[in-house]
Amino acid sequence: MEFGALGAYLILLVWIGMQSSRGIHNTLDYTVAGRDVAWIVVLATTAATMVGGGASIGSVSGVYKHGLVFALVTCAWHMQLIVTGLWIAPRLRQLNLLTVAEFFGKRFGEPARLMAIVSCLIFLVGALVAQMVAMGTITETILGIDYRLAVVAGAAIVIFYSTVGGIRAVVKTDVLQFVVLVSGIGAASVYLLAKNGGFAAILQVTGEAPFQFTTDEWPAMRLITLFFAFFLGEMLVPSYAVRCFIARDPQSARWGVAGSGILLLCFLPVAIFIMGISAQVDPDVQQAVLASGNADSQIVFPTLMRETFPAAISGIMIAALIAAVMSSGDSCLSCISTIMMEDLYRKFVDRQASDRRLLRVAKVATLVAGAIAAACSLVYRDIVEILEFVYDFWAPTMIAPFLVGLFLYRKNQSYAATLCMLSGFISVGIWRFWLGTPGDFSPALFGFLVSIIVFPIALLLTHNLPNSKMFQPQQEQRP
Amino acid sequence: MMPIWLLNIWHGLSVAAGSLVLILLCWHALRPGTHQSQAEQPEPLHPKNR
Repeated sequence: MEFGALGAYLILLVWIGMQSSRGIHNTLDYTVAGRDVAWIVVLATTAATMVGGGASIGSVSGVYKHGLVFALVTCAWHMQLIVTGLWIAPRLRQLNLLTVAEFFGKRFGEPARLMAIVSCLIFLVGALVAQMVAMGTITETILGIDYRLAVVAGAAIVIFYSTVGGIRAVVKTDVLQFVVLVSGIGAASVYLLAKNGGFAAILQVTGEAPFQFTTDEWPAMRLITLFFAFFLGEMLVPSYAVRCFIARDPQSARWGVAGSGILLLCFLPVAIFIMGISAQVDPDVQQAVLASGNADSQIVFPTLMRETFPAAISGIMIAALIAAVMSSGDSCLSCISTIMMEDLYRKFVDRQASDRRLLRVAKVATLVAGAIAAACSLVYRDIVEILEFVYDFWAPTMIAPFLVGLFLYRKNQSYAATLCMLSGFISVGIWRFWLGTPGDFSPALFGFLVSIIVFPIALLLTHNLPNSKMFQPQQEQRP
Repeated sequence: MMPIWLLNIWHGLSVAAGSLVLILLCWHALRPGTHQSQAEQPEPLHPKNR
């Protein structure tokens, strides 16, 4: 029964990919869905992208171990979407961009654009590998399928529909995945709460510890720094930026992205809290976690699903979990292919390439990047470690110049922005790898603080210097 | 400690928000014209639009 539900769902994804390929006529269709996506669809695809392996499996494990405090920290992800949607998304949509790096080139010149390409690729490849690891872990834990086989099969499906249908297929499958996700997680939270007799009954069993705002292990200071690290960690990442690019108009971008944040803030933290504390009171889950020998284990959520629900419902739950992971992975894959096509191939290999040729490059890039990520996920299996690594580097390198370029832009900022990006990147490396993250202070937050200190100082020193040719903002129009 | 009544309200809000968005999606999907493909509505591709 479980296999049947999951199989039907996966076949549906493949069918959607094939259907979407008919609507692909040019690179604009393939990379930004013709910039014609309605706000409610932007909302669904953004929310589906947000809820990946970290926000589902990782968060339930976090609540299982730390209690409510972890669910509260995850609110930062959703608040970030609200802020991005309300104030940033409409501006981004108006610029008619294809990639995030293009924005940096148009504002601060070639060096900033190259650094943005590197940052985007580090983030996207890391996030894609993490999602593929999550896909393999879920399938292995719940269905008992070999991890390698699960990764290869899951990756093959994601790569197939992303390659043939581009962002159009990604958006359509995201909507399906969103429906499965919201129905599955929503139903699971209601069922588990009813089964355990409500919050009051759970409180009787667990005691007050999991319901506290702060704990000994998670004092207020750690909570605040983690909150900001989560807030900044995913801000303006390519997977969300492209949701602004595909919207029909600036208002669709605003309410699609902000709406997904509002929905998720209402919906997800309390749902994962219920799942996490339900796992705490479930002896079977506790036994499985103990048997795995790791209290931080990523198996809490999948085991809870399997132990709690009858086969038919757990099949849908498994589909919901895999949906969460696939919808985040396919977005990364789509963004990587756009970067390969627009930022690398068209910029460095063939500036006059025809649209047909660029489309072929994007498809090949999707295929190759997906295959490489699947191969990496067979070697690196720690989702949290991979995600921490990519989040640490994103915010310090990208956020400050991104916001300056959107809200406080002047033509004399190219040197300062480039130095700001460089200082953020290097300071994270030093803080994380050389100093070993002193005081448990988030490397992302440290690097971000360095970057916002460096920017005004660098601007003060360089604002009178004329931009050299390399640092000139790029005004190029595509052929 | 987070009050139980607040958690109950939050959970109610969670279910209501999820249901509302699913209804809006259904309404969007069933609205006439939603399924018209790009190919049926050709639009000139201005360079600035790319």
